[in-house]
Amino acid sequence: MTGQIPLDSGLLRWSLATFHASTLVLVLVFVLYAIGDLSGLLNGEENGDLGTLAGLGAFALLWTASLIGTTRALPPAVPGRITANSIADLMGWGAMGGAISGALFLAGIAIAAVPLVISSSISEGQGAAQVFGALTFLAFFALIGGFVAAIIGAAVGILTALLDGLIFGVALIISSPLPAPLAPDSETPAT
Amino acid sequence: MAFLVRGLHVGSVSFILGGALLLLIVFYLHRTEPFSSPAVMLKLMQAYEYGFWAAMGLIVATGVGNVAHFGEGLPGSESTWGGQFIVKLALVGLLLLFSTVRVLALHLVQSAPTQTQGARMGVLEGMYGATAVLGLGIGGLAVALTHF
Repeated sequence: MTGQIPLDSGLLRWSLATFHASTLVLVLVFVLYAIGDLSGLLNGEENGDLGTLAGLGAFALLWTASLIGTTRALPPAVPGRITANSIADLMGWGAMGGAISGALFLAGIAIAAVPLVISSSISEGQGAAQVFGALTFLAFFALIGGFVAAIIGAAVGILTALLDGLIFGVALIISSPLPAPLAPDSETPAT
Repeated sequence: MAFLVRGLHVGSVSFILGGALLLLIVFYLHRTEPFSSPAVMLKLMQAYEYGFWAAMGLIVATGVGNVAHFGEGLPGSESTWGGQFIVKLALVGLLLLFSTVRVLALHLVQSAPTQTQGARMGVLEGMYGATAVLGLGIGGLAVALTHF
């Protein structure tokens, strides 16, 4: 396939975002289980249903952040062949998408923590001033954390984009039509 | 809650496997007696892909929930169960990678000129067949992990 290949597709955004989020979680689970740290981290029996809901909510947040980041990073079209700028372009798109996803994920965690901070402060008998102070600290944490999350997200995004590029190349090769067979009476080059 | 999580997990796997098998039946019927155009067949594959990726996300999310339910009783990676679980995780990773190639191949065929789409259908059909095989393998391993 030559020329520009359009990437403006809802299915591409949906599938790539899910691929990114799912692979990230799968790799984390794989590594943590292999080194023996998974059960302690998840601690299902202690946290019960609340831990399950929090875990599902965290994945939904990661999925959403990945979808937004992927949507922003995917260009409208790419060349149908590798060019001199292909690797640099991939890394740029990956860094942008990853940074957006990372920052959004941390922002989502911070927003979800607001009612927890408020209820915790109230249950400890703290007044409005202390609650405001706790929320200010949370906002400061979200700002610094968001910046760090964006940097980490950009690094992961670059690796992901390079993997996406490799996968795209494989898909391009296998989906290209086979050359048409020669007709029985066509001339073959003299040997 | 654990029952709901497990139900979502198994239900999502059922969609992936059942949907792939249904696509294979449609491909076979279309080959023996064509009843539709390549464009309609591609739309059918596209519909499956939307459901596939939603199911994959649910499988990963609820899979973590199922593991968490073990608590401190989760068998270690050095045990027989642990070895099978690592193989299952690796196969799920392979399914994710392969499926990304598949959905990109589908997108490329859909973006190609209409008159060339028919010639490329065989590759896509093979990829959905391979998806069904992978799904069966992972499902079989999951049954072994749960019941043996």
